[in-house]
Amino acid sequence: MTEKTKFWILLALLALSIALLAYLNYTNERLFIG
Amino acid sequence: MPKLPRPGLHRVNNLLFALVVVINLYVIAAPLLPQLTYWWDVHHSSRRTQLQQLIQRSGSAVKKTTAIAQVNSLIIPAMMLDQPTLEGPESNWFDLLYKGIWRWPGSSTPDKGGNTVFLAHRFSYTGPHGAFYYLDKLKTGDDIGVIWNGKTYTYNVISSQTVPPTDTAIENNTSDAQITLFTCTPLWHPVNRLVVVAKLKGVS
Repeated sequence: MTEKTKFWILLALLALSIALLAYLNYTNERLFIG
Repeated sequence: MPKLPRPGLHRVNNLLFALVVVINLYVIAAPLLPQLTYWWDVHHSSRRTQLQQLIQRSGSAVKKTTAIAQVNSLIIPAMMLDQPTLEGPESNWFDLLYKGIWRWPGSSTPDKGGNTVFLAHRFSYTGPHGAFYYLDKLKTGDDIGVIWNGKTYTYNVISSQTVPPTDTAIENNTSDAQITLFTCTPLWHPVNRLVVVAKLKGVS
């Protein structure tokens, strides 16, 4: 695997991780009332 | 001749990998960190005993000796909680819950009897851990004190259960004087409500 491919995979994983964190925080704060 | 990798890109990849690991570790571990604080308080502080003594004193004694009596507040020794309660309309729910414990505006108040409903956050990744983080620590028989307009109302926990958010019966008024405390559960993906009900034991 080239460094360039690794870069794009890691960038995608980073974006997914941030999205997961934002989603979980949203469910904790905003969906509280139900 | 094969193309050699750029050393700069290799370093960027290492940094990206470290970021992914740190963020995911934070996602998993952050909701559990307040448990360490609780463990420490249980084993290395007398805060629980102090709070228990606080709600057992008479209302006038509390008023003379503590500043907290000047505002309406909730004291729960089993949760190491001693925090003012907030009042406000439903339209401000997000800000009120971010600040602390909110009395549901449609519910009663301790001096009127009936069902007084308090709610607070349990956990959020961007804010401090919620006032009701330890609500699951409450057990049947535990004491809860509510300081309301200078009087101390003491309650005994009678039930703790998980209900779906559609179960709005928990907010209904009751003939007996009680308080209902609720927050969201479980920690990582809160789709339900953790509800604790306590009956009035005495007023001083």
